[in-house]
Order: sequence, then C-alpha cells, then structure tokens
Amino acid sequence: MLALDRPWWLLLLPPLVVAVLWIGRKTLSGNSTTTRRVALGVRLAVISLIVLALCDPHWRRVSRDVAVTMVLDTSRSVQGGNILSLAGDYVRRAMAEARATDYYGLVTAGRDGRVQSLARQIGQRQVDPTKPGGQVDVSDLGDTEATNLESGVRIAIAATPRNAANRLLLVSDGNETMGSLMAAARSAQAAGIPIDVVPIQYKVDREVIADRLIAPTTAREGETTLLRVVLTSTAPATGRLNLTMNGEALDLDPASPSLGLAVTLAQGSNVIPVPVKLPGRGSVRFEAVFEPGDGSGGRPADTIIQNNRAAAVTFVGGEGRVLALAANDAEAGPFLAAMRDARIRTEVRTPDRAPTSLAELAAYECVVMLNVSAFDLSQKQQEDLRSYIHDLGGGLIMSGGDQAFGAGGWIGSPLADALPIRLDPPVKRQMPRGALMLIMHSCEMPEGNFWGRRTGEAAIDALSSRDLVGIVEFSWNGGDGLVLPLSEVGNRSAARRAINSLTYGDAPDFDSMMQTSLAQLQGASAGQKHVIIISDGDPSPPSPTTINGYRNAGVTVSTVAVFPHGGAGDLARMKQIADDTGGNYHEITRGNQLNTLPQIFIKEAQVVKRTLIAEGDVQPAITNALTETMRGIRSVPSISGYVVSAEREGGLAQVLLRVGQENDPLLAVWQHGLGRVVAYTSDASTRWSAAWVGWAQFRQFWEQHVRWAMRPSGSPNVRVVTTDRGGQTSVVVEALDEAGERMNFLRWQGAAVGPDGSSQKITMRQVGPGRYEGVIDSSEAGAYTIQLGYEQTAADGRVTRGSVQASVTRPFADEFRSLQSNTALLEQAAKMTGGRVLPADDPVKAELWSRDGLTMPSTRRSIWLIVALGAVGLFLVDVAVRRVRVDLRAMVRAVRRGFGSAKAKGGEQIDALRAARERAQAQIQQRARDSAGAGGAGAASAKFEATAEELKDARAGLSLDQPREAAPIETKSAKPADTADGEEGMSRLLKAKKRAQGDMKE
Amino acid sequence: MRSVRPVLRAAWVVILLLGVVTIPACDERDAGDRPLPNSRQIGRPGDDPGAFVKPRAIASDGSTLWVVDRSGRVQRLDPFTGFCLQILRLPEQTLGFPTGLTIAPSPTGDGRPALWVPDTHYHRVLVYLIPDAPPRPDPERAPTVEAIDPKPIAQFGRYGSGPGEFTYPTSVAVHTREDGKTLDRVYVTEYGGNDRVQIFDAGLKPIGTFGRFGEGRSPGETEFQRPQMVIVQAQPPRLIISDSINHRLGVFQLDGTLERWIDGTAGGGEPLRHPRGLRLLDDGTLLIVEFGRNQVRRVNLSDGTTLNRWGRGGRGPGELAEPWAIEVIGDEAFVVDAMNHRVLEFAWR
Repeated sequence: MLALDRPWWLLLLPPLVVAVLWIGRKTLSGNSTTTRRVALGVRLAVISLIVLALCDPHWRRVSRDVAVTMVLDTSRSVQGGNILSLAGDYVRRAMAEARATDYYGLVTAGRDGRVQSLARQIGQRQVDPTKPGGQVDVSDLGDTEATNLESGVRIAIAATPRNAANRLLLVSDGNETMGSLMAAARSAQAAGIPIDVVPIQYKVDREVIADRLIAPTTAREGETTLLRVVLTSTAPATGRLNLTMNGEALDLDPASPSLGLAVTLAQGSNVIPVPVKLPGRGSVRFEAVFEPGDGSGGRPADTIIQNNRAAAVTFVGGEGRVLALAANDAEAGPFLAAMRDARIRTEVRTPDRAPTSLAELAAYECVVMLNVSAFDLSQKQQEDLRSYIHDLGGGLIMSGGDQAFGAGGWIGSPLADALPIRLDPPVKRQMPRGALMLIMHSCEMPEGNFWGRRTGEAAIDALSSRDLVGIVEFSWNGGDGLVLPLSEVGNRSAARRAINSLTYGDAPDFDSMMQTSLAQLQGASAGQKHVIIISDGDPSPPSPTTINGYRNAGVTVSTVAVFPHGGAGDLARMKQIADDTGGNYHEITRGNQLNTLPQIFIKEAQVVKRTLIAEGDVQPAITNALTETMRGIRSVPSISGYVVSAEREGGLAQVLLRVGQENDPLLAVWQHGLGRVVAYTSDASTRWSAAWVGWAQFRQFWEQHVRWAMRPSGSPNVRVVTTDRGGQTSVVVEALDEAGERMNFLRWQGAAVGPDGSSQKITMRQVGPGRYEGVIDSSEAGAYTIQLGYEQTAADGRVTRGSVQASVTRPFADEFRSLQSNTALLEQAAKMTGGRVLPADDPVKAELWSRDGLTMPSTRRSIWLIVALGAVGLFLVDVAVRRVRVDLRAMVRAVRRGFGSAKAKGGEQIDALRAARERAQAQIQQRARDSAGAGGAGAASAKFEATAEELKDARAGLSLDQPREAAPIETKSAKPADTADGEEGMSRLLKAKKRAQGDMKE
Repeated sequence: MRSVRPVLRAAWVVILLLGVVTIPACDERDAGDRPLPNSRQIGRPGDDPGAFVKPRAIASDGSTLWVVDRSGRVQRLDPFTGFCLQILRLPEQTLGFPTGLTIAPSPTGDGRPALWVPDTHYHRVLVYLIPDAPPRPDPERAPTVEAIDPKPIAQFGRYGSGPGEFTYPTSVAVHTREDGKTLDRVYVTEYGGNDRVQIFDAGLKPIGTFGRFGEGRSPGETEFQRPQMVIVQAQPPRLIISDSINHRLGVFQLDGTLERWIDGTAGGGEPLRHPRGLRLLDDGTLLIVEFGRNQVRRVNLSDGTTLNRWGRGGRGPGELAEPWAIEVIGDEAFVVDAMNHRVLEFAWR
C-alpha cells in the first residue's frame, strides 16, 4: 500500500489545478475540443504526479509470516528423558499444521547458547532422516554441565529473521545455574518478542548427593587423620562408600571382603567418619564415591549418578623439598650429590613421571630441570609449571644441555615467557639458519583441515625468527601452489596468515609440490634445509628425477602419514620418500594419536635448530658479583659448551655470568610473578662442565641458587580451613608460630589457580587473633590450588616469611544439585513478555505460530523516482498531443506512392514536363508574335516573364500580407487532407500551395 | 519521402552496430575461459539435505540425480527444485568417502536399476537397489526426505593387490547383454600404486585385469596413473577410461585391448589436463571433465578432436573449482563443482 511521508505537499494541488485550468483555457484555445480536453487531462495528470513525488511516497509491504525460534535447554539436568528426540517429535507434529512460509529456527542452551539452525521457511526445510535427532538436528551442544537460559534467549533474539514477526519457544525445566533468564526476558519484551514456554516437569524423589569430603588441608607426615564424608539423602537408603587415596583404593572395612564400606543412610544429612593414615610427604588426593544400593521398596536409592563423588586434597608437609627432573643418572648425578651435601631434600624423577597436576607440583618448593627437552612434557604440564611459578610462588631452575632451551624445543612454549633469557638467538648474530618447507595435503581423515592447521602452527612456533619457512599445497587453479614463499619467520604473522588461507585441495601427485619446494630451498642461503610432508599417501609418488634432485641438493624430507589406510600402498610410498632422502617417517594410524601431530612437527622442525649449540672451550666472566646467589664466588671454571640465547630486554632480568665473543648470557635470574627463576645455559654434568663438577665451590654455587629460588616453606602450625558457600569458597587461616603463639599483623599475598588454569588473587583480612579470612570464586567444577605467602616484621626488624598451600575441589557442577523443575521462573518470563505457557503434550493445539499479540513487520520502498519519471513521460505526451499531427491515410498514400510507384511516377512526370514545355513554348511564340507586331525584339526576353496580370493573380493567391500562425517545424506530412474540422492556419497555406502547383501544371 | 531517408540511414547504422556486437557472441563453439553459459546452481555448502560437503561424483537414473560427497551421504535430488528426495548414509566413514558413483542394472539380473558405489577408502564396491522414484516435488513445499537402507544388496572387494582385491577403487562400469538386464561384465578402475582395471563376471567374480602403474612411456604396455573413471559404450562395444595423471583418455575393447589414446591435441586442441569425469552423449560424442583446467570439454570419439569447451576456474556464478564429474539428462549437463560445494547445470546442446 501507498504511504506518503510528507503529505502536506498535497495542499499544493488545488491551487495548481485551478492554475492549469485557467492558463489552459487561453493557450489551448487554438485547438479542437477533443484535443483541448485530452491535453488538459494530461496536464492535470502531470501536475498530480509531480505533487505526489514531492510528498515522498513509499510502497509498504506488510509481512504475513511468523518465525518461531525454539530455545531448547540441553543441560544435563534435563537430559534424563532424551530431550532432543522429544523436542524433535513435538516440533514435527506442530509443523504439520503450519504455513509453508512461516519460519522455524533452533537454538540450544547449555553453558552457553548456540545457534543450531538459523530460521528457515518451513516449506523449504528438509530434515535428514539418517541423522539422530530428527527435527532437532544439532551439530555441537557445547558444555552441557551448566544451564544458561539467559545466553540461550539472547542469542535467539539476535538470530531472529527481520522479515517476519518473531516468537521464542523456551523448552526447559527452569533450573538455571548461570545468568538470569529474567534479564533476557526484559530484552525480549523490549524487542516485542513474546516468549512461549513449555515447562519440562520433573521431581527427583530418590537422590543421594555426596555433599563434601572434609579433609585437613595440611598435615604432618605419618599422621593419622580423620576424614569425614557428608552424604545427603532424600529418603532412607543403603549403599557402599569407596575411598581412594592418590588413585589407590583404601580398604575401609578390613572385616569384609570388599574394599568399600557398607553404609545405611537416613533421610537428610549423614556424616561418615573414615580414619586414614597419611603416607609420606607431598600432596595427597582423596576421592570418595557412593555406590547406591536399593532404596525402600526395592527401587534404586539414587537417580543422578554424577553427584555421587567428592574429593579433597591434603598437603602433607615437612621441610621444603626440591623436585629434580633428569633423564638419567649422568645428568643428575653431580647435582644430586651437591644437594645431598647441602642437606636440601631432593626428589629425582625422569621427565615422563613428572607431576601431571598443579596440586602435585605445589607440594614442592622448587623444580630443577636438568637438560629436559620440551617434548618430554605435555602442553598442560608446561602450563602448570608456569602457573606454579607465577601464581603459586614456586621456584624453577632450568639447566642446559644438548636438549635444553632453544635446542630443546622450548622456543614458543608456555615456559619461554617465564625464563630470564630469550631463547631466540640474537638478531645480530651471524648464525647459520635453517630453512623448512611444509607440504600440506588435505587428508581424507576427519577434521583434516583442523589438524593441518595445528601442525603448521606447531612447526612455525618451533622455529626461531631468523629461520626460513615456506608452505606449499596443491593449487587447483593452476598456480605453483606456493601459499607462502620461503621467507624469514620473523614475527610469524605472515606464516600464520598463510596457514589460515590453505584451501586443502585434492593433490593428485607429490611431484609438482616437491619440485616447487626444492626450487625454493635451492635458492635459499641456509645451513639446514628440510621438508616435511603431511599426507595420507593418496597422491602419486614423485618421479626419480625429483628424488635425485633432493639427494644432490642435500635436502632431507620427512613424511608424516596420517591414516594411511593400512597396508603396503600408501605407507610404502611415503616411507620411500623419507628413506630416499634421509628423512624420518612418522605414522598416525589412530584417532587418539592425532594430538601427537604437533609434537612430531616440532621435533622435525628442530632439525633446523641444531645450530643453537655452541661448543668449544670458553671461560665465563662474572658480570654481577653482588647478588645473593653469587656470594663468596670470585671466579668460575671454564666450560666446553652451552646453548646460545639472548638477553631479555627491559632490565628486570639479571645476567650474572657471560660467555663467548658475543657475551651470550650463561647464568641469569629474575622474579616471575610470585616465583623466582634461574636459567643456566651450560649443563650440570660432565658433558660440558667437567671442570665444574670437580670445582670446590660447585656445591656452594648450586646450593645458593636453589635456596634463593625455593619458595619459603610454611610453619607446621599454620592451618587452613576451606568452606564452600554457593559459588564461593571461604579460606580461613589460623597462624601460630613455632612456640604456639598466635601470629598477628601478617602481610599476605595469595593466589588461587582454578580448574581452567586461570588465577585469581586472594585478599586475606585479619578477623581475629591469629585468624585470617579470604574468599575465592569457585563456581566452576574442578580443583582449585591455593597458595598463600605471609610476611611478618618483628620488633627488631627481622622478617619472617612463610607460605601455606590448600586445595579446594568442586567435584560436580551445580547442575546436578537441582532435584525438581522450576516452572515458576518460566511462567514469570512468559508473563513479562506476553507469551503463553503451553502444554508439552499437544503441540498442534498449542498453535506455535500464532499471530496473537504480534506486530507484523513491514518493508518500505521509496518510489518518488518512479513517480517523477512518470510525470516526465506524461509531459512529453502532453506536448505530443498538441503538436504532432499524424495523418495515417496520407502516410499510407505517401508510402504507396513513394516506394511502390516510383518508376511510373517518374515517367509520368517526364511526359508532363515535356507537354508543359511544349505548351509554354507555344505560349511564348504566341506572345512573341503578339508583341512582335509591337516590336519583335522582345521575344526571347519574354520567354519566362510573366505578364503583369499574371503576377497580380499569383500574388493574390499567395496573400502574403495576412498574418499567419507559424507552423511548428516537426510537421512532416506535406499534403494532409482537410479534416472534417477544417484547421485554419495550416489549411490556408496549403491551399495556396495547391494553387501555385496548379499554376505550374498549366 | 525526403524526411524518411535520414530515418533509414539511422536504422542501417544501428543494425550494423548491433550486428558487430552480437554476432561474435553467437559463436558458442569455443566458450572456454568464460563462465558456464546460463548456468543454474543446485545445492550449497552444508551437511543438511540439499547441501553438499565437497561432492565428488554424480549419477542419474534419467529423472533424478544422485550425488555422493564428503559427509558420507549419497543424496538423491530433484534436478528442477534441488530438493533432496532420499538419503543413503554410507555404513563406514572414518577412513574416507567414495570418489565414484554409477547407476547400472542390478547384479541380481532382473534389470532393476542399482547404485554401484566404489567405496574408495574402504577398498570395496557396494551395490544398492534404487528405490522407486518419489513424485516430482512441489517447489513451494519441500518433500520429506526418505532414508535408504544402508545395507547393500551386494558387496565385493577387500584391500590387496591380487585378483578381486583393490587399493583405491574409483569407478565402476557395467556392460550388459542385448536384453539390457543381464550383466555381462563389470569393470572397476583403481589407483594407489596398483593402477589398473579389473574385469568381473556377472557373479562378481574376478576374471581378468589389464593395465599397470606407469607414466605411459613404455611402448606396447598399457600404463595408468590414477584411472579415475571408466564408462562403457554400447555400440560399438568399447571402454573409455580417463587416465587422469597421464593426462589422456584410453579407448579399449571390452577385453582390454587398446585401440588408441586421446590426449586432446587432435585438430590443434589444448592437451587434456587431469581428465576425470566422463559422459557419453546420445550423438556419440563424449563430455570430459578436466579437473586440472576447471573446464568441461566435448570431443569427437572417432578422431579425438575437440568440439566445444565450457567453463573456467573460479568461485563466482558459472565458474568451477576442482570439477570432478558430469552427468546429463536430456539437453542439460550437471557438473559436480567440488570445491564450491555445488552442482552446476548448463545446456550442452
């Protein structure tokens, strides 16, 4: 329909109409009545259209479609009844009665809202019957251990289509554990989107929840302590309680054959005491699991299993301990001997048995790594180490060797930032650099693109900034396939961009890609040249010419075969390439091996990194003797090798020993967060430091550095108690000194590392004599490791320092605490937004796509331009009506005469001319004879002269002195017949013309 | 009349100009390096019905199209509306997906149409009976998609290089006796180091093989590098095989005797680049999908000369990115445009 934005211009219309009529009367008077009427009508139409255009007209179209977006609660508390298929069935039945042009979309809500399918018209939707879930086709539900209805509703509002009226359909039990549904409902209300709700009702009447496991946070070695397990039950129940300590099951009931303890629970809270003897030092992790038996009436006593576990950690302390990681005795021997002599308790482990959790690490005051390479520790272990230093105040000493620092794959690792030196060699150094080409072939394997990207990134991260890297893949559009030409790694941004732009085409053969790579490497100036191919072996093998090219150029090729489909064919091909060129062959045949891919690439990329080791006898120089760690040491012995590194800018790191012509750092220290770090780039064994091992001050050197780096240990009389309250945990510390006196006015510095690795600061306040309290946010399920360091300045200025650790475990999400549905919240949200509460059993009656209460959206298109053009067109018509004479009959005649009878007419004309000439001759002779009587000489001159009379006649016929209307020049027709009306101006002229022609004929 | 002459003059100039502009465009003989003329797109990226994840093979039963892609589905589509009619989800998918699809009489010998699926990365061929065609769908209301039973009626092959064993089977062609129902021979091409064509009898037992891996330089030997597709010509009875990496087509008799190679250069044409999909037309000419050139070419089988070329590489409308296969229904050709996750239709006649 038509809508005018500026309707006041219509007021212009009446005066303009009057004006047109009045002017028209005069100017059109020369025309006939019909012409006048038509011209007037057209003029009025033109004026109306111009006025309409001035009113800024729009064409409005109102949409008639309704879009329903379902927000489906997929959190675990609701999934008991297979919510996906139930919801699918519900929607399928509702859609059978819906209009084909209405829309339907789906959003799921777990920990966050996710769009599963954008709203599409029902008539165009097709559902895949081979996928489970039917109408509810979900690809990724995300984390379902929490319920965030607010996120679900907000995302649904954002994803609604704009060209339909919108409703939301919220299917949930109403138990939200994060966010606020009412806040999102307010947004929906503002957007005019009603939320219809379908409440999912349930009530769990038989449930046992393991509320918590109470264990002391700190204890002494060998103590027997009492653990308390708190089990809450909704009804009397029986079952079995199992307890594990550091993963091993404890025998709670020696009298019975099984390990667990048979328990009978009353309705409500039950506390079960369990005495436990603590093992040696370290962190001890307890886990209690309740196995339900039968409840009353033979039915199972428990409905939800996920909330039957509780865990706790106890730190069994003593003096400070040091953890040394070394691959073998040769590496660790001299260092361990020094520690023994210094009387520092040291535990040694091989890197594969390194602690796998932060809580385990927290039991040590310092970690010493002796020639440990990054490949021996997982990504998580490296991140835990960094957290251990930065947030928990632990100490780290990294000692070198041929597998350490830059030569050990630590460049770009999580620990690289924690070290007081930069592992990348300095830019100024003229060092042979490495060149690496990556050949990426998308594999038939699942998620091939993802792994392609991961491995590429891993390889690039392992290179240093001066190395060269290039990437090749198959180019479907006929190019050379160079995604990244061989160039310096630099800040890695170009290489990362290249990896993100890979298209993962289907390479038919290896040859072209290998030739491109070889050409790039041959043109590069680098020490080590290496190629890594990742593929499933599908492409055709390279030609012998190509392989020879590689051998002659000394370029090695390593191949990584991913899911090579077993058997001879592909494995053989890829292995052949590696064997022929002197590279390595790696194989990934199972899905769970895929995550070793990045490590493989890093290891392979390390081939180009062998250049970072400097060997040869050198004498280190002490650059800073005034530090705590170098006290009493005037000189140090020579070494025969070290790993090249660079100084860290900024001045916070102190370089204590330098070596070599370029003054490379050999020993550096600094503070990283709460912890202290020492980096020593030569080794502590006889490989490079034979002179050191025999040095008298070897023990003193290491003892001073270790003691400096160690975290101050806690007093055994400092106790920590943690209490969980909702989404927070309160931490209460009772601090007593060795004498048993309360310690007041302590200054605290504390941090807690959460289950996802993030850390939060803890602020402790004194709340009583020797009593301090702090609070941490513990809403996420998992283990929290807490580190609290304290300082006390005595009256005489002496500073006492100490630290204490604790651990808080939230074993299961709050998801699993809710025992019945919260319909009231859903009803509230529906009421606020003008939605309805719909029954779950009758989707057709529910009329999901109802139009009640909805404002239909409309689209507007501006049409002033079309209207204005229409006015211009009509204006031309107006002019044409008045000025153009179209005489069809005459035109037809002209056509016939002009084309059909051209020749005949020509002949006639010639005869007519001849006849006229003879007549004229005769006349002239006659006149000549007449006037010859009077004087004969004028005969020739009188040939073409008209007599005076003839002249007069002619003039009379022409009537030149009468005013005439000037005819417009457009007129084309020469001889229109007189119309019935007898036009005046034109007709007179034409008549005169005719007369003149008539004279001519004579 | 005098006033008509200028009009006539003007008219002649206009006609001349129009002619200069339009006449060259009328020559569709060589429309290469331009997008497919008036092409229509079927499908879009996605894994829901009617969408594709890197489709690689296509077959037709005369009224519907069958497309297999890298989401493990074989979809039966209506060529007019693009709606999916039926879906067959392959039983095993972790290692990879088929690269070929053929519709031919069923091995049961009763002439019912069957879908022959070379399950490339599982080293076997699966055969399914084709259910009856659903009615033509209404463009306003998408039809319900039916599921096809994923259990095949026949299956043959396992990993190996012996008779009846496959490395990577890529394509199946069936030759029937005169009645058009009874199977005579079944041909399967494979690559992966043991590039060859195997011949099976009507009972799906291996009876012969020809060809071996090679670059085609040894005279007297039939060598293949990735024979991607084999088709059977009924009259005269012949096999046509696309020897993809050697950039040529082989024309053979039914027992594997080589007649000749076609490399596209006959008559001054451009050499073939990675020919993959093949389709015989009803006038005896052959459509070839050139994977390496992102084009479709039509050749005369008797002399190997190029008659037409269509298409160019790209991601816009009518452009191809890694085309793998082609199928024809009547005057319309359907090209599988793998990297653009769609099928493009254009008129080949």
